[in-house]
Amino acid sequence: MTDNKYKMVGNVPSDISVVRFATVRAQEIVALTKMIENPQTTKLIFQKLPCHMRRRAMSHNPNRMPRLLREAHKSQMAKSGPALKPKRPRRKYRRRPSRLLEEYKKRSSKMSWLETHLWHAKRFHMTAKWGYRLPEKSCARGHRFCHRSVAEHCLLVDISYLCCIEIQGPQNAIIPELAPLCDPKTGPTFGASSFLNGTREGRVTIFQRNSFSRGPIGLVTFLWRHGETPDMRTLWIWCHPAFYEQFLVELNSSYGSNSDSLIEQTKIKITLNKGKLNRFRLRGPFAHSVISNLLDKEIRKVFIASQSPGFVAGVDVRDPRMILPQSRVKEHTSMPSQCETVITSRSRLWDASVRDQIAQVRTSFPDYVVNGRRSQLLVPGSELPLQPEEIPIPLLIVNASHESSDFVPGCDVIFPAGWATAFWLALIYSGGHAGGLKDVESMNFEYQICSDLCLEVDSNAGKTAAAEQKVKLMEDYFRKPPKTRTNFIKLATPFPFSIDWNRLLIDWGYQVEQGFTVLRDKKLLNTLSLNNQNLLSELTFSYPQLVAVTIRLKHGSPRDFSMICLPKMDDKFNSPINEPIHQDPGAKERKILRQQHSSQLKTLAKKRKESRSSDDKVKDFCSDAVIAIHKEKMRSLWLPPSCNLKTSYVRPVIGFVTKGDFGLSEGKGIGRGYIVIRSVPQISASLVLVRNPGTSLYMWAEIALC
Amino acid sequence: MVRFKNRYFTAEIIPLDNGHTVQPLNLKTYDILKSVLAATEQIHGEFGAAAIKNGLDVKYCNESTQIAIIRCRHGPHRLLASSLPFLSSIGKRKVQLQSMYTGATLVKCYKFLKKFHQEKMNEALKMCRTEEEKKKIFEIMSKTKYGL
Repeated sequence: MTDNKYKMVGNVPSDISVVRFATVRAQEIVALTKMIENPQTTKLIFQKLPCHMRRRAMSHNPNRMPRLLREAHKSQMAKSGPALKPKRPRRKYRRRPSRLLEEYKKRSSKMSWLETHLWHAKRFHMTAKWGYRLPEKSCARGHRFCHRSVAEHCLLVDISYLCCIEIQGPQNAIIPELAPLCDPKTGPTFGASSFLNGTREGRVTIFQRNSFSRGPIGLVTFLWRHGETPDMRTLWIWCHPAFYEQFLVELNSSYGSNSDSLIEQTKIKITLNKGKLNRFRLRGPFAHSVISNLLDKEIRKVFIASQSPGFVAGVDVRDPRMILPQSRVKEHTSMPSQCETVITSRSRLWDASVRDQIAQVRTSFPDYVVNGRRSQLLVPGSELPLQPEEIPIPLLIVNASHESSDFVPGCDVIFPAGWATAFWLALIYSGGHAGGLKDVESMNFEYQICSDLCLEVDSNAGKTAAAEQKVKLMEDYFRKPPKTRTNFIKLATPFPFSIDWNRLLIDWGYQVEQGFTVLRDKKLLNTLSLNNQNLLSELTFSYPQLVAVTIRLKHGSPRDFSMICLPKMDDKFNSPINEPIHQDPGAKERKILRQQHSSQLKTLAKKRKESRSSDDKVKDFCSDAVIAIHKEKMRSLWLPPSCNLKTSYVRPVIGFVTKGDFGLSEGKGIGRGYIVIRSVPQISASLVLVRNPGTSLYMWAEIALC
Repeated sequence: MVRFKNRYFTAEIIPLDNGHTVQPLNLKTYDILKSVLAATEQIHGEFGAAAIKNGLDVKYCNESTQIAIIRCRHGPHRLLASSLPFLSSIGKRKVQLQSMYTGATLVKCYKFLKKFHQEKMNEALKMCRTEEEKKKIFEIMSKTKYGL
């Protein structure tokens, strides 16, 4: 390279511009610098470490690398795709009590869990309803067993999902605001004197403000606090979670409409006690003896007098974990037959501070300490003597009130939050049989009690529930193959999945723009049941109203959505009447539609194949839209068309059965349903015809207004 | 685990025929490869060409600066090195290859090239005739400094 300079001069052509030369070289320099700085290495980062610093674990654990190389190593590991799923920890680790608690908290963050959820989850089929996970039916016990529990023993249901609203303020400020929400014709309301004292629990149907002709919101129960002066009273209202939001809106508009000024003037305070109280319901002849196992000996002696229906008793009991029997009691304790003293309705439960203090005891005096002390007792399974950390827990025992003609004795227990499992176990061990939502429904069906747990058919909550049930039933129906589906068009069933009350009322000549209601006016119901033609005027029949009825069959039983029909004048009792099979004009149409649809699908498939082979992606011959349209059309062809209920069938339809089954309490088929009010005078001798959905036989039945 | 050792020859390609760049030198890696193989066959015969062929690659080729980096396996590289001066044409153009540096890694070659270009830039500065050109070159040089 001696002639370097010489050669260089020779390299550069004579007419080169120096600037161009320099720019090109400058670009080169920059590019080379970049390449030098970021060498394209084929080695992995950990191969650059000296051998004595490499570790086996660094293949999966980047923290084993020196800090400076960690980031690069992590990025290289990330490039080889997502890591293996972390190994599932072993069963013993997963079931450690602390980890179980974490797992439950995670699960219960989406849906609310009752406090007794774990006990129920092991023994019941659970459902998700109204934002809660609730037990539906028992895994081990059948329907008849649960009915026997109500009829002969004691059925125990956890109804802590009912929401409690507390209203505090002067009495004559609370009552006038609540008055527009309830109709005095349906029964005693918030301000009735029998409830004001606080010794009885009342129940009332609430409506939207000043609009009693529209449907109600629902049935709520309420309780005044005993032993207060009229200028500062407390009222507890318990309502169902399905219409809780709607009710709150109504309350807020009552109390908040003249907003702050009203609240300051009258000092009304509304608190939502949604999760702060628990409530159990016991129904059955032995309910009181089961409860008395919780009570102290002296109170047990006087308990018998406080069992009048609707009465509220406030008692203080010991911590139930101390007195838990060792094994389940099957025989029931006999109660003393008579006594005079009545337990007071006063209770410390109404104090929020007392409730908080008691809720604290649960964590400060935990279960394992109690169990440890019990294990040291001389006689195993006996009661633990009074412990220094114990505080007496206030309970409210609310006896069952008369709801219908059948009376089932029972009581409700209300106690502070946090103690549900302790009390639940104590009650189960004392002889209560646990029940779920299905048992509540069956109680409502057989005896017509517990109506505050069931939704009204004309309320928004009830309509939503009916719509959900309709969707479920329709899905079940269409899941079957067409050959095994019952043809409701031929069998003349207008409403196989849900009842369209508006249609019924329109056919009977009403205008239903405002909606319909169920007749709840007690006086009017009385006059209707007497069926005296003179007392009834045309005015009573002008509103679109339904009347609740019960039908009883001698042979057979009605089903849900059965039709209640009026017999003709000359129909003899117990004569067999049949509905002839109707024509199904849809059958031909369905067949043609099916053939058309299959040929359409075939052409689309052919077109797809062609476009794939010719790679001409001009159009996308997707058959999804076609299939969806066809499905809708077919479904509408399977459902019975809407027709005039009075004239399309052999006998006019006056109403429907909402719940029908064999009634175990009466030993015959019972149906609870509703009929149009206009048809009531036309019923002679309380005899009607009932036709089950999907059948053609009209069965004779007795009808009674309930 | 046998390690493949390579040698990278950085060579400057000097066109012989027209010093006035009427036709731009169209450097294609395929052409260089072919001509290198032909030259080696000429000098060392079939054995030479075959020995070099495995691992022969033109790793870097820049037309504007007329630099190419040819890779070869360590061992036969001496055959290649001895036949490079005899390479007289690439494609259709008559050229002369002047090898500047032999590196064992590509990064070392780049480092050498960077130093080479920087020296060239300094000499371009000396060759400038007008003040304006000098200013422009200073600008460009400062840009590269920052780019560094």
